[in-house]
Amino acid sequence: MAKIFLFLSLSFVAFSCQNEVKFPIPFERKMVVHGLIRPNNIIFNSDSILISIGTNIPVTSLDANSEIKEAVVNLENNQKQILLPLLTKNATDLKNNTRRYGVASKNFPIIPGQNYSLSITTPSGFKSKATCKVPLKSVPTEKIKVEILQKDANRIRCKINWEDIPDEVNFYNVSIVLNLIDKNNKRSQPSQIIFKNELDAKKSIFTTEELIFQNLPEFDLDRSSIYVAVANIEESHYNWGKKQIAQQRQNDSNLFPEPVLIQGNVTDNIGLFSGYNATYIINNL
Amino acid sequence: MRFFILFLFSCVSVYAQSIHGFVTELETKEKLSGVSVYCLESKKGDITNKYGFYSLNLPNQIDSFTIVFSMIGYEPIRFKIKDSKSELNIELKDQIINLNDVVITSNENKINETARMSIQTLPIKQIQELPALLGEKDLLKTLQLMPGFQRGNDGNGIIFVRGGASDQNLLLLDEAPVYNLFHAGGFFSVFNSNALKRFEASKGAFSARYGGRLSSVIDVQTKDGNKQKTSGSLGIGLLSSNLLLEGPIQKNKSSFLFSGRMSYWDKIYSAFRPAGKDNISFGLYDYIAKFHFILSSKDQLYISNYFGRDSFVWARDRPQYFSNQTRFQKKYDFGFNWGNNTGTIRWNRVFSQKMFANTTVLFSKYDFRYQNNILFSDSKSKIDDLNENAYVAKIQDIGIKTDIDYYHKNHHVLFGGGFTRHQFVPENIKLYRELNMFRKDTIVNIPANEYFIYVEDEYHPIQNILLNIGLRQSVFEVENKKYSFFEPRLGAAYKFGKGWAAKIGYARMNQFVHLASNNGVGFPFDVWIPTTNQVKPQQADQISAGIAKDFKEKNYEFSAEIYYKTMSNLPALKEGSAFLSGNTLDIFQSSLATVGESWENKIVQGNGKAYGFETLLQRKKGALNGWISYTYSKVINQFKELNNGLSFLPRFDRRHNASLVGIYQIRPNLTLSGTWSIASGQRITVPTSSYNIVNPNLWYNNANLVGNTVYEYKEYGNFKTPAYHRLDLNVQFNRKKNKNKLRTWELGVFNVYNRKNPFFYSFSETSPSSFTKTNIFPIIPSISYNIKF
Repeated sequence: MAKIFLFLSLSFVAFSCQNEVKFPIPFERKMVVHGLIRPNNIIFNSDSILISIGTNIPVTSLDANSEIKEAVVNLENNQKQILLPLLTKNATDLKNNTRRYGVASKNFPIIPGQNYSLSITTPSGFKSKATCKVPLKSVPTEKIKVEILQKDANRIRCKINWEDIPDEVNFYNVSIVLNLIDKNNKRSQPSQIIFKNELDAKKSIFTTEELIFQNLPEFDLDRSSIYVAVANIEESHYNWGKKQIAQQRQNDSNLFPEPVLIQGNVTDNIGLFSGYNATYIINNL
Repeated sequence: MRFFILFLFSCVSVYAQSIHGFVTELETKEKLSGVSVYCLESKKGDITNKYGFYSLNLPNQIDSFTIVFSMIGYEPIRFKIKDSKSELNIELKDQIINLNDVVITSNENKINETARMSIQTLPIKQIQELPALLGEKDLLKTLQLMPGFQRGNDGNGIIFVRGGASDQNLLLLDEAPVYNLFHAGGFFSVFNSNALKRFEASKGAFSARYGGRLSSVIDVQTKDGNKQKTSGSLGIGLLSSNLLLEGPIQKNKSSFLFSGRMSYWDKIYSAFRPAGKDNISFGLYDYIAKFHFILSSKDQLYISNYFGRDSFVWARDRPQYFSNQTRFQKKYDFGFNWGNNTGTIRWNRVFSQKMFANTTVLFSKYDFRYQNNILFSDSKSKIDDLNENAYVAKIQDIGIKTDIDYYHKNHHVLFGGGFTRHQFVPENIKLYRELNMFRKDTIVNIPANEYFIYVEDEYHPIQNILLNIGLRQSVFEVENKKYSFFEPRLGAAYKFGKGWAAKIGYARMNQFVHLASNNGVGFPFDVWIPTTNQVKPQQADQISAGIAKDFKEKNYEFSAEIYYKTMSNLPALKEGSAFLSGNTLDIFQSSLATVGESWENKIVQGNGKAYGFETLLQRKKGALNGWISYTYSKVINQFKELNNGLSFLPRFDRRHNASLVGIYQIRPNLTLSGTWSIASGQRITVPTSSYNIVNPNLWYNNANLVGNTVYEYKEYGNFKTPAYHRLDLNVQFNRKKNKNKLRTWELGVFNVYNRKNPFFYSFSETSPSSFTKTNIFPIIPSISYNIKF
């Protein structure tokens, strides 16, 4: 009987084990490139072409992203080309261990409808190429409407409508910034941004989902304004953005995640180089 | 069709006489299916059908015949008959009483005596001999040791057959479909093996009688109940117990059977839970109840019901704090609750000595519930806020079908048809927020109708050739859309040499119900969804070929098969979607139905192809018997919307699988058995790195990065998990007190060398994250005591 009791006890103890085994995931260091280029716009007097370069980091170790040093960043358009110089680090660069390469737009104008090629090589052995075509057309200003559905101290509800550019398949990125003025007449930081893509070749009128800005009692809404950018973007940019949104909907504590593969157009590495042609409007609330 | 019927009956008749009847077990009067009925003079035979009925045509030229009735586990009987146009009911004596003659086989009938191929059967009695987790004998776990039937993880009781997903297996229990095959986390199958009589699993060249799934059919029959005397068994294990009770209602005329199981390991685990560990709780119970009435010599009635429930709860009662917030998580638990409920009423009718019919009215229901409860609290205000999230999915069937066996000359023709009314609830989301007084309940309800008719002929055109030709028409109606498919089936066998047979088979299958499974790491989360206007039926074409050899003298049997299968419209969840997400309201909103997008938009469909090789060598008799099996299986899927449109290896691509099974009878009352199995790791999709994304707002300078991070997934199925392997051992001591009482002590060790096979994989919430394999089945000794009375 004593032996049986011992046997039973050992069984329970064994079953109480809950083992967790950690193991690493193979990691390959890659260069991460971001570059969205646009034709110069009167709204942005001192616009510049910027290419950001960083690296990825492993998921399961403390390795930081390593800084890409002395990259050769070359931008080409037909017969013209320019070597983008390294810019001074800003706070964001420091935080993310990235470097920006760029030049003022006036030194290398971006022309709608033209192709651009980006090539990057680094002393550490990274090599990448990417091409883009800046869309020829943008949505005319008069074809963009801002619908204010509600405006009071509790919330602002609005929608953005615009007419599709006819006779072509288009992809759009609509960006909104609410610029709020507080009672001390000081301009606040934008309270929300919205990134949205729309794709439907059959549609002629696009409407965003309802945008809601809440908790605004301290602002003077009559003096505040809404900034809207409707950009005609490339398909690569659309796919990139859509997948990013899908992945960010997930959460680390999600028990049932479906993977999202974000596909860029930068060869052998990670990233997106794309052109867009945007129309910017500023409306009072 | 006219051509086909002419073909069926075009052979010249030399068969004018016949015998027919039922084969039953001597002691219990249990109807026996799968009994070989063989005429020595004509060298022709057949097997009893599911209900123990047979009809054998005999040639005119011979006056007397020797008929042999045989089945593994029973003493064979020879009958000399002269008057062949008669009813001949046979009773076979159970051989298991003689412990000197233990027999194990995967094919009860000679492997070279049927045109059908890719079939596995196991005598239920033999499953009782093999080791099992905590002593719980298991039909489907044993099936996973046979070639072609592959396992999932320890935590998900899944069977993958020939490159098919787990939803492609049709499990029939007394003719009713069972949608979930395994109890809590896959520890053992939903059936209590004590109550089972026989099963047959086919994985290719399917009979036209079966349809609705692409990869396998597992047809399970329960016992009818002892018609002679009341008997039963009681099994007491460490963590669960079972009871079987059967007996006559009216002797030799009607019987009942009740079998139930219940676990109590959740209570034991809680008591022995190490300090600081989360509480994991499994609970299950099930029962099978059955009644059998012999109404007349031609009519029989069966009423059966299965009911089973499971629960799995993971609870953390330690507070979790978030940085820079006063709100903290006081308690957290999540869990699953699921169960099957099936019922059938079956009426058997012998219309003539050549025609047998069974009509079934069936009911089947499966429901699944995921729930998490989070008790938030505010460290300043001390106010609690209970958040409850639940996801419920259901499928329910009500149907009727008729199956007819017709024996004509050297043909055995099967034909019939059926109708099923399905009711799907693929998504029912329930949310509750105590503090905000917020409650939400959304439900999607989809009815559908399924019909089928079929005809099949098992035919011996000449001595050494057997043919099996079948046709099936399947129809599915949903949302005013009608899908109708013609499904040809073909099997052929050629016998040659000494005990050799070469076989070839082809089957087209369609599937109208689908299981949406997740592909990432983490817990399996499976929801049954219907074919709709948007979600198309799955379809597969499979061709298989093989050879078989029966080494009679040495009691060995060898078989080898190759197969190639193409599949279309395979369903999967699209990238980034989830039927259910984590533990906050925000994440529940990512369930697309809650923001107005149809659940169907979460489904994408693609194609797959699978091919492989399977072989089995088994020793059927002797003090040491068992088998060795090996399976090579490769499957490649391709979806336009997944993996950037490139082909990938899905989760169930387990390339190599091998099993070694041995039973050694040391003494008549002492049996040692062991199983060792190994399988390649599974394919899962894990992120390989992370990086910061660009600010998506075009009002800002686009090269200024923001802090948000996204993950890089190189491709689907990019991570191959470590191989699965495990050794189990078992010792059985039998002691017979008297003629009616048998006591069995059983000692077993599960996972003898303590291999840490995964229960699930997960990423930690720490920074940096760690990728972790959780195992909850280390070496587990068990002891159980069974009394048969």
